[in-house]
Amino acid sequence: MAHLLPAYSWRNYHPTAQLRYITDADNADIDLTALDGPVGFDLEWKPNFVKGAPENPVALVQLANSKFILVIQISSMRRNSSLSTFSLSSSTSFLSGFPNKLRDFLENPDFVKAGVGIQSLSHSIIPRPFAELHC
Amino acid sequence: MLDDVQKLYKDRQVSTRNCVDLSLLARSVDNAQWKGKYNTSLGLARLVEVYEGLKLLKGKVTRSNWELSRLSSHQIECPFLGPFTSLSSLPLVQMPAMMHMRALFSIKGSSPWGNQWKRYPTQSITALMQYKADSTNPLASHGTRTIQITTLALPLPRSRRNQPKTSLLHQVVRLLRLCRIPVLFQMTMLETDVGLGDMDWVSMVVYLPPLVPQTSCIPPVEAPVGARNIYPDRMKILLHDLQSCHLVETIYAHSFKSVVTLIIMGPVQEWLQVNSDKLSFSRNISRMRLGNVGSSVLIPRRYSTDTFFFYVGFIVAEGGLISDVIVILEAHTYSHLSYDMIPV
Repeated sequence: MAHLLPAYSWRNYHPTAQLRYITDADNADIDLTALDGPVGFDLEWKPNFVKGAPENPVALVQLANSKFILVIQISSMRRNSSLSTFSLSSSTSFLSGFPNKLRDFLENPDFVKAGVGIQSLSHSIIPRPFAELHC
Repeated sequence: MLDDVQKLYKDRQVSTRNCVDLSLLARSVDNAQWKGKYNTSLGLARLVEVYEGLKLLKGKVTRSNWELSRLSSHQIECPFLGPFTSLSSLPLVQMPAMMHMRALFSIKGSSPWGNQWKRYPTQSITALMQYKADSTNPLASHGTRTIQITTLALPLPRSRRNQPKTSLLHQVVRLLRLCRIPVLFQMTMLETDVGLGDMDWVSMVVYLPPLVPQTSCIPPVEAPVGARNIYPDRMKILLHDLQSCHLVETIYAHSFKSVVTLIIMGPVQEWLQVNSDKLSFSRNISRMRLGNVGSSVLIPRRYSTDTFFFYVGFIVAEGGLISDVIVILEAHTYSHLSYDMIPV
């Protein structure tokens, strides 16, 4: 049945939305300044096909509302910051190569980030007494 | 989403706050639609299929190399299917939320620095639920008010001898359970670096149904184009329920030294008294529940919060069937609150 359904396309919902592919922190700052919530939120990272090998770090942060779709490739920022420390942008956290505005946005409790896919409720994140409150 | 946010914290020490997991939201407000346990995740593709009537084509690109110095156009175009679809799915997820009229609580982050009681700003969440209030939202097109959301903060008691710090929250939950009110928690992220022992307040987000006067008339609502085969008949029935929604009066709960007393005031009490013989109940709500609310509920209370406010609404279907009850709760520690401030 599902294969008979028409395909989803964001352009059908918001044809005027602007897609931004961002690979440096300065541009991330500019675009994130204009972004407000609520936003759809997702992450991507390079899969590791070697059994037992550690996961690769987050490479891509995706944020979208009705006006903007930001595809922020933080892996390239990390690479840039490690290669050219002296020219590191003030917009980028020195230690992590993570855009400061992006960090601010994600940590800001005023903006809802909507996503999908809680696999399990971890007690390391949600303390046990709260986890037990699920009805 | 939790996995994603945990990973982001692990990789980059970013504490992502105020996350709404649409899978849990759909489970919370429309669980009859879904099989499996409440915390069994629902995939984005499945949500889009059910609520939007569309197929999500993401394919193998999700397993591609996202660390390339320059992503391909396909990689750039495709991934935001995820976030964008998440957002566009919301209004249709919200509709069952409005119909089920259940309280969703969201526990937010905490303040390890001893902040006082705080009311969280609600604009962003309200905007979330009012998003896409256009012609594709059948409820919006008929002028129905969208869901109201109130964000509340509950102070947790400071450490005392023989008292667990989470006691107030547990007390609240016990209270709601005692009232046989179906409470579902929609939890956002707690800060990973804040343990239970450091937490001195917890906020809750409560989703309220729209206030629809009994005299209002909402025409029968058709499912949006493309979702015709998705919505079950019961949706129309629930929409009809919405027309005869008796809401919302204030129940005032004042704390005394050893008990919390809930007192129903105003038209809800009168309405209950007048209609109690005519009412029947859905399986979720017992006669005892209504009887208790109709008079008062005495709750053993050992903790220090001064005052609770309860707002209770009854959803009454055709024939006097009470199909659901919603409750929001607010706790104050301000000593100057008094009877004078209670709307009667």
